[in-house]
Amino acid sequence: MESFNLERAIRDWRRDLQRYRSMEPGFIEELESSLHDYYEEYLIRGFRANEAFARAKLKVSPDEQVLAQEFSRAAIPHKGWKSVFGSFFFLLPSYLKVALRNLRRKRFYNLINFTCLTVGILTTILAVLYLDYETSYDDMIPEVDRKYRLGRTFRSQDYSVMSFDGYFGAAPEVQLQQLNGFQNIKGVEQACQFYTFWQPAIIKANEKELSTENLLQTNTPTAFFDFFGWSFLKGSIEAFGQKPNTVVLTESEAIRIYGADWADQPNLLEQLMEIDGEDYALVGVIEDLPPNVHFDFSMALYRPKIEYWGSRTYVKLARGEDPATIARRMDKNMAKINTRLAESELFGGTIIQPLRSIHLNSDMLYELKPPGDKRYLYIIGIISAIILLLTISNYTNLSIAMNASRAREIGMRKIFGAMEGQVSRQFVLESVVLSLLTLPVVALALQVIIPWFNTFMGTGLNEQILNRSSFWLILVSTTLLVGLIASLYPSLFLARHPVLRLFRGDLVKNTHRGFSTRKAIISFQFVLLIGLCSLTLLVNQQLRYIQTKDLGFDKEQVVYINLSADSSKYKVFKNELLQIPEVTGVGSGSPLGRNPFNQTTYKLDGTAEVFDDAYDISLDYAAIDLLNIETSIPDYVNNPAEAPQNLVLINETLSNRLCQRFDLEKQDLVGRQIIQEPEYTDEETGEPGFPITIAGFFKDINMFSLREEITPMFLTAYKDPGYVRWVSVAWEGVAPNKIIDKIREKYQGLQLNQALYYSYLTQNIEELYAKERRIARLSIYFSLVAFTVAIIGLIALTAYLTTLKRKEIGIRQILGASQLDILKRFNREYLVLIGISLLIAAPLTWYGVSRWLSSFAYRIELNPLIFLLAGLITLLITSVAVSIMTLKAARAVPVDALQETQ
Amino acid sequence: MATKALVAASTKPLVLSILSYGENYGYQIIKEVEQLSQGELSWTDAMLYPVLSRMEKEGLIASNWVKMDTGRKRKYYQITTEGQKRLERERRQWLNVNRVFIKLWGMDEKPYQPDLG
Repeated sequence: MESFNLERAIRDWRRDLQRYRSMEPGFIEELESSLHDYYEEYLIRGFRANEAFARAKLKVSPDEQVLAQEFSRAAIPHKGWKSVFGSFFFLLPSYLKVALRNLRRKRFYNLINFTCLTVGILTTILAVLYLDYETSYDDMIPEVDRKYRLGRTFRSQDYSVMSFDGYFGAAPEVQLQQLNGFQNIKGVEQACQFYTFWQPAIIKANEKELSTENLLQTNTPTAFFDFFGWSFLKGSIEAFGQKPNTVVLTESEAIRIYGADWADQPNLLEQLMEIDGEDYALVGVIEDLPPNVHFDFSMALYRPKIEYWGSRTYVKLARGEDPATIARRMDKNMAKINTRLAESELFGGTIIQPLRSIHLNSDMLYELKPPGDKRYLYIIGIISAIILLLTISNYTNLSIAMNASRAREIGMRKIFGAMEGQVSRQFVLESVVLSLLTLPVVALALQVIIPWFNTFMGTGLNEQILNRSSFWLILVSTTLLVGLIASLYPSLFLARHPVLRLFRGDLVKNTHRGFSTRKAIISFQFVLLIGLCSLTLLVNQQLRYIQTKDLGFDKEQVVYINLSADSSKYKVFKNELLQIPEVTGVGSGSPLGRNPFNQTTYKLDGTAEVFDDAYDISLDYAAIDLLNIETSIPDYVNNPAEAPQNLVLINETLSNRLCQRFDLEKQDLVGRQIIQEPEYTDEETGEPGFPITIAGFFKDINMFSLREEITPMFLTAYKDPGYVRWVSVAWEGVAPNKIIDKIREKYQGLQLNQALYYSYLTQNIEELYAKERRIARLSIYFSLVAFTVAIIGLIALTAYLTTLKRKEIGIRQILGASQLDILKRFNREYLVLIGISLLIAAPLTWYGVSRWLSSFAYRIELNPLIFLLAGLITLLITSVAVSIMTLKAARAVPVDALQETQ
Repeated sequence: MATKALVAASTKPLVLSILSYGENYGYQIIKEVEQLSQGELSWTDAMLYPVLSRMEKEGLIASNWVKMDTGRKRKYYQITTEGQKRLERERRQWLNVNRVFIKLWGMDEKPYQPDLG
């Protein structure tokens, strides 16, 4: 048996205890003295040495863990936050001194870290501001939580407009009665209604003639301003409510009409202005509407009657009322509010919508402003989070590599008694200092970027943002947070190392084999890059597809002119237009490239099934010709003189449906009757609906955006129009703005007394995809930023690592490795990482993008090669960066590197 | 055996009381308490040393390392004036409690008579 060695036994016992951080050396020493006493006691009692020691040990430390816990409990109350902070502030000057010294010493690498941090913080702030803006719609309206908009379900569609009893024909009293009906529902405190018109109106005031869009008409003037709480700069709500034919301007409209000094003009109020031929008295000026309200107007007119078939109707509920109950109450009382609507079998109920949910959650017909899209908020959020993660991981990687050479400093600190926490605090502080240094740059950059972002994204972020304290709060807290997160890993990594290894100076090199944290971080970056790159490629592929897909009609070089006049004016205008040599065709009828509108119910005569999903459009033969829509009646289209006054064509989707459902041949459909709106009964004849005869077919056209699937359509082709709202003009061989000049000349010759409003067909279609295009472009910009950040990080890291590996390169070269061999060797490492990253990134992106694509009825097929392409792009850029840095090291004379003493 | 709560409450006054007889060290304190209580109070090192360290930080006791003839070191604790004041306070409290119990359990000359009126 081996003889018992007390010294060794105690040493082992001590080492076991030292593993616990709470066991300070003093504690252990004291326990050791106790251990001795017990040992001696047991020896005296007659135990053998090893037995005595075992018993003494059991007495002093029966369970090391419990022991350590007891001691840590003894330590904590006295080493609480106060003392941590105390020592932190005591050491702060020293921390700062070392931090600044280090920032200065490694200027190049710190500059790179600084740049990346700036970019990361900048994108994060921008994304936060944007998300905050999009989710703050209508927040400023007083008591917004109790305010709702009313809509209605009709057929299978939801309308954001509440129709009047009698539509256009509703008398002023009927319009008001209807609103009172809503207001009298139990639980409703207040109701108001208005409608805004996009058509430009001609304003004559202050000896000027101007055209203004976005006029608002209301016949509940006081309730309207009370409800939304817009504040008056001049005038008052009361004056607006006193008598009809009064007008309230927004500030910018007042400036436009009366100049910048409008407020100083004497007798500004009560001045008369002529709006579309009628006189109005100016009674007030309000502040411009904030950009994040779900509607906008330039001037509000008080009229006895709203000149539309319905109104935007708003209600304020009493405290604690449940909107769903109120909506049911409204439906129950609809007979009293709007008899015709209540009696219609197509009416599907009142919709009550919280004001705040309109911007992001409303998917109804005739929205006031293009609604936002939550998915795009997620995309922006995710992309900026990716950039932030890239920034942080860049910082982590680079600072581990960079600070590896500070191993001796850390070692000395530890030897002089620095605790782990105190060492890591140094690195945390350095990172926070660096990120705080980015503050002025970020603030200045935002000043420049926000106006650009606003025009680009169509948002209204506050450009005077530096004056807002909430902004500074976000900025400083984000910056601090980024600084803290970025320093998390490096500080722990560097502070945790045992003292001895710190002095061997092999912090970075010894992690070369296996899957080190550094490699994990780089792979993580690659995953983000490949994901972002393929996302950008796919989104843009879909947009290209949208732009080039055959819509079933010619969209180039067609412009729509708002005429809104009778057929005689149209004939004159058409003849005049055809005099212009570049004009190749003039037609009239429904414009294409628009948002969905109301559908029609219909059934095939002789059958019982009623469908409710058809769109009705009408075009004259000339318009069909100039749009080049393929029909089964080309002879009529080419020669309208021979054609009947009007006839109805159905699209392929509809003919296919009817053929399949009723087992018919396509040709059998020609001459069959369709009953539109069969729920309607002619009071005189007792016949249901409006019968029409199918005269032929036309090829499917995408009248709406490609998000919408093509549904059944009726196209009424006609020879001579009655009233013409839109004139379509096709032209060739001249720039778009030139042709408008020529058209305007002819338009003014008509003496219509209204402003010219026109829109190009291509422009209409593009507007349908405004959101998508913005996102696509933004994702390109963001991807570029992300790539730049990642590549800078990679270059810096490679540069640093190659300086550490100069000896290795030197030895390899001396032993006969060519530069190419070395390049291959250094690049191979990344090839594997990119391969792994590709496998992770591809399925994630696949999932995300297919979710997005599913919102399009017409979309690209997801091609797996795209992911490979994204991987290749990443590989290419990476290997160029790595190769350049490696070559730089390899070009050096090998002996020089080897002669260096470490 | 004393309950955990009682041990927790009595440790400090006991340590102060023992030290009021002169300086002492951990092992010996444990032994003395064990003897005085006839084995009822059996403290462990894991319990005592953290308490001593805490009391030292509170200023109730002071300590110094003493090198002995055998070459080993031992940490001796002394009671401070602050500690003596505390001990006096503790003593009064414990005696008060003690008196109440004595009365309640009929061990007093004038035992407790509940007023049931």
